[in-house]
Amino acid sequence: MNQLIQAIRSEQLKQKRTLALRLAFIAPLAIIVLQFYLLYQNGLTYLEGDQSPWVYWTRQTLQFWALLMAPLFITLETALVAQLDHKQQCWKQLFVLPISRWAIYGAKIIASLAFLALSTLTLLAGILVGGSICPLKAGFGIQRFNSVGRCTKPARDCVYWLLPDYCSAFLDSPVLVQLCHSSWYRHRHDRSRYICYQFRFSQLLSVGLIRAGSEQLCQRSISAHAITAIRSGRRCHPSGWRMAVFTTGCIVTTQFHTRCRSLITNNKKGPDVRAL
Amino acid sequence: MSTDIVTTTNLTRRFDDVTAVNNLNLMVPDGSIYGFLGPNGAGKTTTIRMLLGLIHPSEGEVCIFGKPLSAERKSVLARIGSLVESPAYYEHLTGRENLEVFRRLTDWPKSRIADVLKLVRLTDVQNRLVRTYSMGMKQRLGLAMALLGKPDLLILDEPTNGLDPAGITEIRELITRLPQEQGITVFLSSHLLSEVEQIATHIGIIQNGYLRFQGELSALHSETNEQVVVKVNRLNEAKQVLDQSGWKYVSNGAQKLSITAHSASDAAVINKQLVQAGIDVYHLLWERPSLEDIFLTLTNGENKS
Repeated sequence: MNQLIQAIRSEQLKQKRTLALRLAFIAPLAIIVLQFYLLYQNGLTYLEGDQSPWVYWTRQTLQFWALLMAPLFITLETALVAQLDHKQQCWKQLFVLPISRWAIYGAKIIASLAFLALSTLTLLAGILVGGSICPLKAGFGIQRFNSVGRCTKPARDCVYWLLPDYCSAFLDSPVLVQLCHSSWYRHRHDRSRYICYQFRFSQLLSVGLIRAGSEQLCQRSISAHAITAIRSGRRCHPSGWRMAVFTTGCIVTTQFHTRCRSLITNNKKGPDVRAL
Repeated sequence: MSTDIVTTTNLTRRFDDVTAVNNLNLMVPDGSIYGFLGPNGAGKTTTIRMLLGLIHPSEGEVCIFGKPLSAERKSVLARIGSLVESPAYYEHLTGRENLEVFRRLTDWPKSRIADVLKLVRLTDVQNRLVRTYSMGMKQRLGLAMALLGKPDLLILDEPTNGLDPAGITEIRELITRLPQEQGITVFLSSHLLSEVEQIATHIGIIQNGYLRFQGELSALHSETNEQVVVKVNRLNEAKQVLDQSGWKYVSNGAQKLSITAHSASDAAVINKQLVQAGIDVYHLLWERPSLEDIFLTLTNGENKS
Protein backbone atom coordinates (compact mmCIF):
# COMPACT_ATOMS: atom_id res chain seq x y z
CA MET A 1 0.00 0.00 0.00
CA ASN A 2 2.84 2.29 0.90
CA GLN A 3 4.49 1.42 -2.39
CA LEU A 4 1.31 2.20 -4.28
CA ILE A 5 1.20 5.67 -2.75
CA GLN A 6 4.85 6.21 -3.67
CA ALA A 7 4.11 5.08 -7.22
CA ILE A 8 1.10 7.41 -7.45
CA ARG A 9 3.15 10.37 -6.27
CA SER A 10 5.79 9.55 -8.84
CA GLU A 11 3.12 9.20 -11.53
CA GLN A 12 1.71 12.56 -10.51
CA LEU A 13 5.02 14.27 -11.22
CA LYS A 14 5.42 12.32 -14.44
CA GLN A 15 2.15 13.66 -15.85
CA LYS A 16 3.31 17.25 -15.58
CA ARG A 17 3.19 19.12 -18.92
CA THR A 18 1.70 16.15 -20.80
CA LEU A 19 -0.94 16.07 -23.50
CA ALA A 20 -2.85 13.61 -21.32
CA LEU A 21 -3.41 16.29 -18.71
CA ARG A 22 -4.54 18.89 -21.24
CA LEU A 23 -6.78 16.39 -22.97
CA ALA A 24 -8.74 15.80 -19.76
CA PHE A 25 -10.03 19.37 -20.16
CA ILE A 26 -10.06 19.67 -23.93
CA ALA A 27 -12.19 16.58 -24.67
CA PRO A 28 -15.23 17.41 -22.48
CA LEU A 29 -15.04 21.10 -23.35
CA ALA A 30 -15.08 20.24 -27.06
CA ILE A 31 -18.32 18.31 -26.52
CA ILE A 32 -19.84 21.14 -24.53
CA VAL A 33 -18.95 23.75 -27.13
CA LEU A 34 -20.28 21.64 -29.99
CA GLN A 35 -23.47 20.74 -28.19
CA PHE A 36 -23.98 24.26 -27.03
CA TYR A 37 -23.64 25.51 -30.58
CA LEU A 38 -26.20 22.99 -31.82
CA LEU A 39 -28.62 23.78 -29.02
CA TYR A 40 -28.22 27.49 -29.35
CA GLN A 41 -28.67 27.50 -33.12
CA ASN A 42 -31.32 24.84 -33.63
CA GLY A 43 -32.45 23.92 -30.14
CA LEU A 44 -35.82 25.58 -30.51
CA THR A 45 -36.85 23.33 -33.39
CA TYR A 46 -36.17 20.21 -31.29
CA LEU A 47 -37.80 21.38 -28.12
CA GLU A 48 -41.47 20.67 -28.10
CA GLY A 49 -44.24 21.48 -25.70
CA ASP A 50 -43.11 22.12 -22.21
CA GLN A 51 -40.20 19.67 -22.29
CA SER A 52 -37.47 20.84 -20.01
CA PRO A 53 -34.58 22.24 -22.05
CA TRP A 54 -32.36 21.24 -19.16
CA VAL A 55 -33.24 17.59 -19.64
CA TYR A 56 -32.82 17.87 -23.40
CA TRP A 57 -29.48 19.66 -23.14
CA THR A 58 -28.06 17.42 -20.45
CA ARG A 59 -29.16 14.24 -22.18
CA GLN A 60 -27.83 15.26 -25.57
CA THR A 61 -24.48 16.20 -24.09
CA LEU A 62 -24.21 13.05 -21.98
CA GLN A 63 -25.11 10.84 -24.93
CA PHE A 64 -22.60 12.51 -27.17
CA TRP A 65 -20.00 12.00 -24.45
CA ALA A 66 -20.95 8.40 -23.63
CA LEU A 67 -21.28 7.13 -27.17
CA LEU A 68 -18.56 8.92 -29.05
CA MET A 69 -16.17 10.97 -27.00
CA ALA A 70 -15.71 8.85 -23.87
CA PRO A 71 -14.49 5.69 -25.66
CA LEU A 72 -12.13 7.74 -27.84
CA PHE A 73 -11.00 9.83 -24.92
CA ILE A 74 -10.33 6.84 -22.71
CA THR A 75 -8.47 5.01 -25.46
CA LEU A 76 -6.25 7.99 -26.16
CA GLU A 77 -5.83 8.90 -22.51
CA THR A 78 -4.72 5.45 -21.40
CA ALA A 79 -2.49 5.18 -24.47
CA LEU A 80 -0.81 8.45 -23.58
CA VAL A 81 -0.35 7.39 -19.97
CA ALA A 82 1.16 4.10 -21.09
CA GLN A 83 3.22 5.58 -23.91
CA LEU A 84 5.01 7.86 -21.49
CA ASP A 85 6.95 4.90 -20.16
CA HIS A 86 7.18 3.06 -23.44
CA LYS A 87 8.78 5.86 -25.40
CA GLN A 88 12.21 5.82 -23.83
CA GLN A 89 11.86 2.29 -22.46
CA CYS A 90 11.39 3.59 -18.97
CA TRP A 91 9.83 0.29 -17.96
CA LYS A 92 13.19 -1.33 -17.59
CA GLN A 93 14.27 1.43 -15.22
CA LEU A 94 11.05 1.11 -13.22
CA PHE A 95 11.11 -2.65 -12.98
CA VAL A 96 14.63 -2.79 -11.59
CA LEU A 97 13.58 -0.66 -8.65
CA PRO A 98 12.86 -2.45 -5.40
CA ILE A 99 9.13 -1.94 -5.81
CA SER A 100 6.42 -4.35 -6.82
CA ARG A 101 5.23 -4.25 -10.41
CA TRP A 102 1.62 -4.17 -9.37
CA ALA A 103 2.22 -0.89 -7.57
CA ILE A 104 3.53 0.59 -10.82
CA TYR A 105 0.66 -0.79 -12.88
CA GLY A 106 -1.81 0.22 -10.20
CA ALA A 107 -0.51 3.79 -10.20
CA LYS A 108 -0.96 3.90 -13.98
CA ILE A 109 -4.58 2.81 -13.75
CA ILE A 110 -5.23 5.24 -10.92
CA ALA A 111 -3.64 8.05 -12.96
CA SER A 112 -5.98 7.27 -15.87
CA LEU A 113 -8.95 7.10 -13.52
CA ALA A 114 -7.96 10.46 -12.10
CA PHE A 115 -7.90 11.93 -15.60
CA LEU A 116 -11.30 10.37 -16.20
CA ALA A 117 -12.66 11.92 -13.02
CA LEU A 118 -11.19 15.25 -14.04
CA SER A 119 -12.85 15.11 -17.45
CA THR A 120 -16.17 14.01 -15.91
CA LEU A 121 -16.11 16.96 -13.54
CA THR A 122 -15.24 19.27 -16.43
CA LEU A 123 -18.16 17.87 -18.41
CA LEU A 124 -20.62 18.32 -15.54
CA ALA A 125 -19.36 21.83 -14.90
CA GLY A 126 -19.67 22.53 -18.61
CA ILE A 127 -23.27 21.30 -18.62
CA LEU A 128 -24.11 23.63 -15.74
CA VAL A 129 -22.38 26.62 -17.30
CA GLY A 130 -23.73 25.91 -20.78
CA GLY A 131 -27.25 25.48 -19.46
CA SER A 132 -26.98 28.72 -17.55
CA ILE A 133 -25.92 30.66 -20.64
CA CYS A 134 -28.84 29.33 -22.71
CA PRO A 135 -31.43 31.72 -21.21
CA LEU A 136 -29.57 34.51 -22.97
CA LYS A 137 -31.53 33.48 -26.00
CA ALA A 138 -35.20 34.11 -25.64
CA GLY A 139 -37.67 31.39 -26.40
CA PHE A 140 -36.05 28.48 -24.59
CA GLY A 141 -37.87 29.23 -21.45
CA ILE A 142 -34.91 27.61 -19.75
CA GLN A 143 -35.18 30.13 -16.95
CA ARG A 144 -38.46 28.53 -15.96
CA PHE A 145 -36.63 25.31 -15.13
CA ASN A 146 -34.05 24.65 -12.52
CA SER A 147 -30.93 22.74 -13.31
CA VAL A 148 -32.33 19.33 -12.41
CA GLY A 149 -35.48 19.74 -14.45
CA ARG A 150 -38.86 21.31 -14.30
CA CYS A 151 -39.57 23.40 -11.29
CA THR A 152 -43.21 22.39 -11.43
CA LYS A 153 -42.32 18.80 -10.58
CA PRO A 154 -40.25 17.51 -7.68
CA ALA A 155 -36.54 17.54 -8.47
CA ARG A 156 -36.30 13.84 -7.58
CA ASP A 157 -38.36 13.03 -10.66
CA CYS A 158 -35.94 14.70 -12.94
CA VAL A 159 -32.94 13.14 -11.29
CA TYR A 160 -34.63 9.81 -11.90
CA TRP A 161 -35.32 10.87 -15.48
CA LEU A 162 -31.67 11.52 -16.16
CA LEU A 163 -30.25 8.76 -13.96
CA PRO A 164 -29.94 6.25 -16.84
CA ASP A 165 -28.11 8.85 -18.87
CA TYR A 166 -25.65 9.46 -16.09
CA CYS A 167 -25.23 5.71 -15.69
CA SER A 168 -24.57 5.02 -19.34
CA ALA A 169 -22.31 8.04 -19.59
CA PHE A 170 -20.09 7.38 -16.63
CA LEU A 171 -20.50 3.88 -15.21
CA ASP A 172 -18.66 1.89 -17.83
CA SER A 173 -15.84 4.39 -18.24
CA PRO A 174 -13.67 3.11 -15.37
CA VAL A 175 -14.07 -0.39 -16.76
CA LEU A 176 -13.01 0.85 -20.17
CA VAL A 177 -9.95 2.40 -18.60
CA GLN A 178 -8.87 -0.95 -17.23
CA LEU A 179 -9.77 -2.64 -20.47
CA CYS A 180 -7.51 -0.35 -22.43
CA HIS A 181 -4.72 -0.64 -19.92
CA SER A 182 -4.67 -4.40 -19.95
CA SER A 183 -4.36 -4.24 -23.70
CA TRP A 184 -1.47 -1.75 -23.69
CA TYR A 185 0.59 -3.79 -21.29
CA ARG A 186 0.29 -7.12 -23.03
CA HIS A 187 3.62 -8.41 -24.19
CA ARG A 188 4.64 -11.36 -26.23
CA HIS A 189 6.90 -13.00 -23.74
CA ASP A 190 4.87 -12.12 -20.74
CA ARG A 191 3.24 -15.02 -19.06
CA SER A 192 0.42 -12.82 -17.89
CA ARG A 193 -0.89 -12.27 -21.40
CA TYR A 194 -3.30 -15.17 -21.08
CA ILE A 195 -4.63 -13.71 -17.87
CA CYS A 196 -4.98 -10.43 -19.69
CA TYR A 197 -7.06 -12.05 -22.42
CA GLN A 198 -9.43 -13.51 -19.87
CA PHE A 199 -9.45 -10.23 -18.06
CA ARG A 200 -10.37 -8.37 -21.22
CA PHE A 201 -13.09 -10.84 -22.08
CA SER A 202 -14.71 -10.52 -18.69
CA GLN A 203 -14.40 -6.78 -18.90
CA LEU A 204 -15.98 -6.64 -22.34
CA LEU A 205 -18.81 -8.64 -20.87
CA SER A 206 -19.24 -6.25 -17.97
CA VAL A 207 -19.17 -3.23 -20.28
CA GLY A 208 -21.90 -4.87 -22.33
CA LEU A 209 -23.89 -5.66 -19.19
CA ILE A 210 -23.65 -2.13 -17.89
CA ARG A 211 -24.74 -0.76 -21.24
CA ALA A 212 -27.61 -3.23 -21.47
CA GLY A 213 -28.50 -2.47 -17.87
CA SER A 214 -28.65 1.25 -18.40
CA GLU A 215 -30.72 0.62 -21.54
CA GLN A 216 -33.13 -1.42 -19.43
CA LEU A 217 -33.25 1.32 -16.88
CA CYS A 218 -34.08 3.77 -19.64
CA GLN A 219 -36.91 1.63 -20.90
CA ARG A 220 -38.26 1.29 -17.39
CA SER A 221 -38.04 4.95 -16.74
CA ILE A 222 -39.73 5.58 -20.07
CA SER A 223 -42.66 3.39 -19.17
CA ALA A 224 -42.78 4.82 -15.67
CA HIS A 225 -42.91 8.26 -17.11
CA ALA A 226 -44.87 7.34 -20.19
CA ILE A 227 -47.10 10.32 -19.87
CA THR A 228 -44.17 12.72 -19.62
CA ALA A 229 -42.60 11.02 -22.57
CA ILE A 230 -45.72 11.35 -24.65
CA ARG A 231 -46.20 14.90 -23.57
CA SER A 232 -42.67 15.75 -24.51
CA GLY A 233 -43.55 14.26 -27.88
CA ARG A 234 -40.23 12.48 -28.26
CA ARG A 235 -38.93 9.09 -27.45
CA CYS A 236 -36.00 9.62 -25.24
CA HIS A 237 -33.90 6.67 -26.31
CA PRO A 238 -34.77 5.54 -29.80
CA SER A 239 -33.04 2.18 -29.58
CA GLY A 240 -32.38 1.84 -33.30
CA TRP A 241 -30.61 5.16 -33.50
CA ARG A 242 -28.76 4.45 -30.30
CA MET A 243 -27.59 1.06 -31.48
CA ALA A 244 -26.42 2.48 -34.80
CA VAL A 245 -24.36 5.15 -33.11
CA PHE A 246 -23.05 2.63 -30.61
CA THR A 247 -21.94 0.24 -33.37
CA THR A 248 -20.28 3.04 -35.32
CA GLY A 249 -18.68 4.20 -32.12
CA CYS A 250 -17.38 0.69 -31.48
CA ILE A 251 -15.91 0.42 -34.97
CA VAL A 252 -14.32 3.85 -34.75
CA THR A 253 -13.00 3.07 -31.29
CA THR A 254 -11.55 -0.27 -32.35
CA GLN A 255 -9.82 1.41 -35.27
CA PHE A 256 -8.62 4.14 -33.01
CA HIS A 257 -7.47 1.59 -30.47
CA THR A 258 -5.40 -0.16 -33.13
CA ARG A 259 -3.89 3.16 -34.22
CA CYS A 260 -3.00 3.96 -30.63
CA ARG A 261 -1.50 0.53 -30.21
CA SER A 262 0.76 1.06 -33.20
CA LEU A 263 1.59 4.46 -31.76
CA ILE A 264 2.96 2.68 -28.75
CA THR A 265 4.53 -0.37 -30.31
CA ASN A 266 5.76 0.76 -33.72
CA ASN A 267 7.94 3.66 -32.82
CA LYS A 268 11.61 3.06 -33.36
CA LYS A 269 12.44 2.49 -29.76
CA GLY A 270 9.28 0.58 -29.04
CA PRO A 271 9.01 -1.78 -26.13
CA ASP A 272 11.38 -4.67 -26.42
CA VAL A 273 9.30 -7.80 -26.09
CA ARG A 274 12.30 -9.52 -24.64
CA ALA A 275 12.55 -7.06 -21.81
CA LEU A 276 9.03 -7.14 -20.59
CA MET B 1 40.82 -13.64 -2.11
CA SER B 2 37.83 -11.41 -2.51
CA THR B 3 34.32 -12.75 -2.55
CA ASP B 4 32.16 -12.82 -5.64
CA ILE B 5 29.32 -10.32 -5.74
CA VAL B 6 27.58 -11.80 -8.75
CA THR B 7 27.57 -15.49 -9.52
CA THR B 8 25.46 -17.26 -12.08
CA THR B 9 25.15 -21.02 -12.34
CA ASN B 10 24.38 -22.57 -15.71
CA LEU B 11 22.40 -19.52 -16.72
CA THR B 12 20.48 -20.28 -19.91
CA ARG B 13 17.88 -18.32 -21.81
CA ARG B 14 16.01 -19.47 -24.90
CA PHE B 15 13.78 -17.38 -27.14
CA ASP B 16 11.54 -19.76 -29.01
CA ASP B 17 14.17 -21.80 -30.90
CA VAL B 18 17.12 -19.45 -30.37
CA THR B 19 19.37 -19.98 -27.37
CA ALA B 20 20.63 -16.52 -26.55
CA VAL B 21 22.59 -17.43 -23.46
CA ASN B 22 24.01 -20.87 -22.85
CA ASN B 23 25.25 -22.29 -19.53
CA LEU B 24 26.80 -19.07 -18.36
CA ASN B 25 28.85 -19.22 -15.14
CA LEU B 26 29.81 -15.67 -14.30
CA MET B 27 31.88 -14.67 -11.29
CA VAL B 28 32.21 -10.97 -10.56
CA PRO B 29 34.59 -10.23 -7.66
CA ASP B 30 33.90 -7.55 -5.07
CA GLY B 31 35.29 -4.13 -5.91
CA SER B 32 36.17 -4.98 -9.48
CA ILE B 33 35.29 -3.36 -12.76
CA TYR B 34 34.09 -6.32 -14.73
CA GLY B 35 34.08 -5.85 -18.50
CA PHE B 36 31.57 -8.08 -20.22
CA LEU B 37 32.60 -8.32 -23.84
CA GLY B 38 31.04 -9.75 -26.93
CA PRO B 39 30.03 -8.89 -30.46
CA ASN B 40 26.51 -7.69 -31.20
CA GLY B 41 23.95 -10.41 -30.59
CA ALA B 42 26.27 -12.46 -28.39
CA GLY B 43 23.83 -12.40 -25.48
CA LYS B 44 25.21 -9.55 -23.41
CA THR B 45 21.97 -7.65 -23.01
CA THR B 46 20.01 -10.82 -22.39
CA THR B 47 22.43 -11.73 -19.61
CA ILE B 48 22.17 -8.28 -18.06
CA ARG B 49 18.40 -8.41 -18.19
CA MET B 50 18.49 -11.70 -16.37
CA LEU B 51 20.86 -10.24 -13.77
CA LEU B 52 18.31 -7.51 -13.16
CA GLY B 53 15.32 -9.82 -13.12
CA LEU B 54 13.77 -8.14 -16.17
CA ILE B 55 13.45 -11.54 -17.81
CA HIS B 56 13.45 -14.97 -16.25
CA PRO B 57 16.19 -17.45 -17.11
CA SER B 58 15.06 -20.64 -18.85
CA GLU B 59 17.49 -22.56 -16.68
CA GLY B 60 20.07 -21.80 -14.04
CA GLU B 61 20.20 -19.24 -11.31
CA VAL B 62 21.49 -15.75 -10.59
CA CYS B 63 22.99 -15.02 -7.18
CA ILE B 64 23.78 -11.44 -6.24
CA PHE B 65 25.31 -10.53 -2.85
CA GLY B 66 25.06 -14.23 -2.12
CA LYS B 67 21.28 -14.23 -2.37
CA PRO B 68 19.25 -15.87 -5.13
CA LEU B 69 17.66 -13.14 -7.24
CA SER B 70 14.44 -15.03 -7.85
CA ALA B 71 13.70 -15.39 -4.15
CA GLU B 72 14.91 -12.06 -2.80
CA ARG B 73 14.30 -9.77 -5.76
CA LYS B 74 13.45 -6.63 -3.81
CA SER B 75 16.27 -6.68 -1.27
CA VAL B 76 18.80 -7.44 -4.01
CA LEU B 77 17.51 -4.82 -6.44
CA ALA B 78 17.60 -2.21 -3.69
CA ARG B 79 21.41 -2.45 -3.78
CA ILE B 80 21.81 -2.37 -7.57
CA GLY B 81 21.94 0.59 -9.90
CA SER B 82 21.54 -0.04 -13.59
CA LEU B 83 21.67 1.55 -17.00
CA VAL B 84 20.45 -0.83 -19.66
CA GLU B 85 21.23 0.22 -23.24
CA SER B 86 19.85 3.70 -23.85
CA PRO B 87 19.05 5.65 -20.71
CA ALA B 88 15.40 5.83 -19.70
CA TYR B 89 14.15 9.36 -19.20
CA TYR B 90 11.04 11.49 -19.57
CA GLU B 91 11.67 14.14 -22.20
CA HIS B 92 9.00 16.54 -21.00
CA LEU B 93 10.51 16.80 -17.52
CA THR B 94 13.67 18.51 -16.36
CA GLY B 95 16.72 16.53 -15.34
CA ARG B 96 15.95 17.12 -11.69
CA GLU B 97 12.31 16.09 -12.07
CA ASN B 98 13.41 12.91 -13.81
CA LEU B 99 15.46 11.92 -10.79
CA GLU B 100 12.61 12.95 -8.51
CA VAL B 101 10.24 10.59 -10.36
CA PHE B 102 12.50 7.68 -9.52
CA ARG B 103 13.28 8.92 -6.04
CA ARG B 104 9.60 9.12 -5.15
CA LEU B 105 9.22 5.44 -5.96
CA THR B 106 11.63 4.52 -3.18
CA ASP B 107 12.61 5.77 0.23
CA TRP B 108 15.84 7.43 -0.82
CA PRO B 109 16.46 10.80 0.79
CA LYS B 110 15.89 13.95 -1.24
CA SER B 111 19.47 15.10 -0.78
CA ARG B 112 20.65 12.23 -2.96
CA ILE B 113 19.40 14.07 -6.05
CA ALA B 114 21.79 16.98 -5.53
CA ASP B 115 24.57 14.51 -4.74
CA VAL B 116 24.24 12.49 -7.92
CA LEU B 117 23.72 15.57 -10.06
CA LYS B 118 27.00 16.88 -8.74
CA LEU B 119 28.67 13.51 -9.26
CA VAL B 120 27.74 13.40 -12.95
CA ARG B 121 28.25 17.17 -13.32
CA LEU B 122 24.70 18.02 -14.37
CA THR B 123 24.00 20.55 -11.64
CA ASP B 124 24.14 23.49 -14.07
CA VAL B 125 21.51 22.08 -16.41
CA GLN B 126 19.29 20.39 -13.83
CA ASN B 127 16.34 22.70 -14.53
CA ARG B 128 16.39 22.33 -18.29
CA LEU B 129 14.01 19.97 -20.05
CA VAL B 130 15.69 16.69 -20.87
CA ARG B 131 14.46 17.15 -24.46
CA THR B 132 17.11 19.84 -24.85
CA TYR B 133 19.95 17.72 -23.44
CA SER B 134 22.79 16.43 -25.58
CA MET B 135 23.41 12.70 -25.93
CA GLY B 136 26.22 12.85 -23.40
CA MET B 137 24.05 14.69 -20.88
CA LYS B 138 21.27 12.15 -21.29
CA GLN B 139 23.74 9.33 -20.79
CA ARG B 140 25.07 11.01 -17.66
CA LEU B 141 21.52 11.50 -16.46
CA GLY B 142 21.05 7.75 -16.93
CA LEU B 143 24.13 7.17 -14.81
CA ALA B 144 22.77 9.55 -12.18
CA MET B 145 19.58 7.50 -12.05
CA ALA B 146 21.63 4.34 -11.62
CA LEU B 147 23.59 5.93 -8.78
CA LEU B 148 20.56 7.44 -7.05
CA GLY B 149 20.01 4.56 -4.64
CA LYS B 150 23.63 4.41 -3.41
CA PRO B 151 24.13 1.03 -5.04
CA ASP B 152 26.81 -1.48 -4.11
CA LEU B 153 26.71 -2.90 -7.61
CA LEU B 154 26.39 -0.92 -10.80
CA ILE B 155 25.25 -2.75 -13.92
CA LEU B 156 25.83 -0.82 -17.13
CA ASP B 157 24.92 -2.06 -20.57
CA GLU B 158 26.94 -0.33 -23.28
CA PRO B 159 27.32 2.90 -21.29
CA THR B 160 29.28 4.63 -24.07
CA ASN B 161 26.94 3.64 -26.89
CA GLY B 162 26.36 6.46 -29.35
CA LEU B 163 28.67 8.94 -27.64
CA ASP B 164 31.39 11.00 -29.27
CA PRO B 165 35.02 10.54 -28.11
CA ALA B 166 34.75 13.37 -25.60
CA GLY B 167 31.60 11.86 -24.11
CA ILE B 168 33.24 8.45 -23.95
CA THR B 169 36.22 9.86 -22.06
CA GLU B 170 33.88 11.59 -19.65
CA ILE B 171 31.87 8.45 -18.91
CA ARG B 172 35.04 6.42 -18.65
CA GLU B 173 36.49 8.78 -16.08
CA LEU B 174 33.30 8.60 -14.08
CA ILE B 175 33.24 4.81 -14.13
CA THR B 176 36.85 4.46 -13.04
CA ARG B 177 36.26 6.92 -10.22
CA LEU B 178 33.35 5.02 -8.73
CA PRO B 179 35.04 1.91 -7.31
CA GLN B 180 37.79 4.03 -5.78
CA GLU B 181 35.59 6.71 -4.25
CA GLN B 182 32.47 4.81 -3.32
CA GLY B 183 33.52 1.18 -3.24
CA ILE B 184 31.07 0.21 -5.94
CA THR B 185 31.51 -2.91 -8.02
CA VAL B 186 30.90 -2.17 -11.68
CA PHE B 187 29.66 -4.69 -14.21
CA LEU B 188 29.71 -3.22 -17.68
CA SER B 189 29.11 -4.67 -21.09
CA SER B 190 30.55 -3.41 -24.31
CA HIS B 191 31.55 -4.36 -27.80
CA LEU B 192 34.14 -1.61 -27.80
CA LEU B 193 37.10 -3.69 -26.75
CA SER B 194 39.64 -0.89 -26.48
CA GLU B 195 37.17 0.82 -24.19
CA VAL B 196 36.95 -2.03 -21.69
CA GLU B 197 40.68 -2.68 -21.82
CA GLN B 198 41.33 0.76 -20.41
CA ILE B 199 39.07 0.56 -17.39
CA ALA B 200 38.32 -3.05 -16.53
CA THR B 201 40.13 -5.15 -13.98
CA HIS B 202 38.32 -8.34 -14.87
CA ILE B 203 37.08 -9.56 -18.21
CA GLY B 204 34.40 -11.95 -19.40
CA ILE B 205 34.07 -12.70 -23.09
CA ILE B 206 30.84 -14.06 -24.48
CA GLN B 207 30.13 -15.26 -27.98
CA ASN B 208 26.99 -16.89 -29.35
CA GLY B 209 25.77 -17.27 -25.80
CA TYR B 210 28.85 -19.14 -24.57
CA LEU B 211 31.40 -17.73 -22.14
CA ARG B 212 34.79 -17.87 -23.89
CA PHE B 213 37.04 -16.42 -21.26
CA GLN B 214 36.77 -15.15 -17.72
CA GLY B 215 39.39 -13.80 -15.39
CA GLU B 216 41.65 -10.89 -14.68
CA LEU B 217 42.73 -8.68 -17.52
CA SER B 218 46.39 -9.59 -16.90
CA ALA B 219 45.51 -13.29 -17.09
CA LEU B 220 44.01 -12.71 -20.50
CA HIS B 221 47.21 -11.07 -21.67
CA SER B 222 49.44 -13.82 -20.32
CA GLU B 223 47.28 -16.45 -21.95
CA THR B 224 48.08 -15.03 -25.33
CA ASN B 225 51.64 -14.64 -26.54
CA GLU B 226 53.38 -11.49 -27.51
CA GLN B 227 55.10 -11.11 -30.82
CA VAL B 228 58.33 -9.70 -32.09
CA VAL B 229 58.10 -8.39 -35.62
CA VAL B 230 61.39 -7.98 -37.46
CA LYS B 231 62.26 -6.73 -40.90
CA VAL B 232 65.48 -8.19 -42.27
CA ASN B 233 67.48 -8.05 -45.50
CA ARG B 234 68.03 -11.80 -46.02
CA LEU B 235 64.84 -13.60 -45.14
CA ASN B 236 65.89 -17.22 -45.73
CA GLU B 237 69.08 -16.92 -43.70
CA ALA B 238 67.16 -15.30 -40.89
CA LYS B 239 64.69 -18.17 -40.92
CA GLN B 240 67.56 -20.64 -40.58
CA VAL B 241 68.96 -18.75 -37.60
CA LEU B 242 65.59 -18.70 -35.92
CA ASP B 243 65.03 -22.41 -36.62
CA GLN B 244 68.34 -23.27 -35.02
CA SER B 245 67.47 -21.37 -31.86
CA GLY B 246 64.01 -22.93 -31.75
CA TRP B 247 61.82 -19.84 -32.21
CA LYS B 248 58.37 -20.17 -33.67
CA TYR B 249 57.62 -17.69 -36.41
CA VAL B 250 55.40 -16.83 -39.34
CA SER B 251 56.47 -14.99 -42.41
CA ASN B 252 54.20 -12.09 -43.11
CA GLY B 253 54.95 -10.18 -46.28
CA ALA B 254 58.26 -9.34 -47.87
CA GLN B 255 61.20 -9.53 -45.50
CA LYS B 256 58.98 -9.48 -42.44
CA LEU B 257 58.79 -12.15 -39.75
CA SER B 258 56.47 -12.40 -36.78
CA ILE B 259 58.11 -14.35 -34.00
CA THR B 260 56.28 -15.67 -30.98
CA ALA B 261 57.87 -14.36 -27.82
CA HIS B 262 57.07 -14.37 -24.10
CA SER B 263 58.65 -11.22 -22.80
CA ALA B 264 60.30 -8.04 -23.94
CA SER B 265 63.76 -9.47 -23.25
CA ASP B 266 63.11 -12.09 -25.93
CA ALA B 267 63.19 -9.27 -28.46
CA ALA B 268 66.73 -8.38 -27.43
CA VAL B 269 67.83 -12.01 -27.65
CA ILE B 270 66.35 -12.41 -31.13
CA ASN B 271 67.97 -9.19 -32.28
CA LYS B 272 71.37 -10.27 -30.97
CA GLN B 273 71.16 -13.69 -32.64
CA LEU B 274 70.20 -12.19 -35.97
CA VAL B 275 72.88 -9.51 -35.88
CA GLN B 276 75.57 -12.01 -34.81
CA ALA B 277 74.63 -14.15 -37.84
CA GLY B 278 75.40 -11.12 -40.00
CA ILE B 279 71.83 -10.28 -40.90
CA ASP B 280 70.78 -6.64 -41.02
CA VAL B 281 67.75 -5.85 -38.92
CA TYR B 282 65.92 -2.82 -40.32
CA HIS B 283 63.01 -2.82 -38.01
CA LEU B 284 62.18 -4.50 -34.75
CA LEU B 285 58.85 -4.21 -32.96
CA TRP B 286 57.68 -5.83 -29.77
CA GLU B 287 53.95 -6.30 -30.06
CA ARG B 288 51.63 -6.90 -27.17
CA PRO B 289 48.36 -8.02 -28.70
CA SER B 290 45.46 -5.73 -27.92
CA LEU B 291 42.26 -7.11 -26.55
CA GLU B 292 40.95 -6.68 -30.06
CA ASP B 293 43.39 -9.24 -31.41
CA ILE B 294 42.83 -11.62 -28.51
CA PHE B 295 39.16 -11.29 -29.02
CA LEU B 296 39.40 -12.02 -32.72
CA THR B 297 41.58 -15.07 -32.10
CA LEU B 298 39.14 -16.36 -29.51
CA THR B 299 36.07 -15.78 -31.63
CA ASN B 300 37.49 -16.73 -35.01
CA GLY B 301 38.83 -19.96 -33.59
CA GLU B 302 35.30 -20.87 -32.72
CA ASN B 303 33.96 -19.97 -36.14
CA LYS B 304 36.41 -22.27 -37.87
CA SER B 305 35.90 -25.29 -35.66
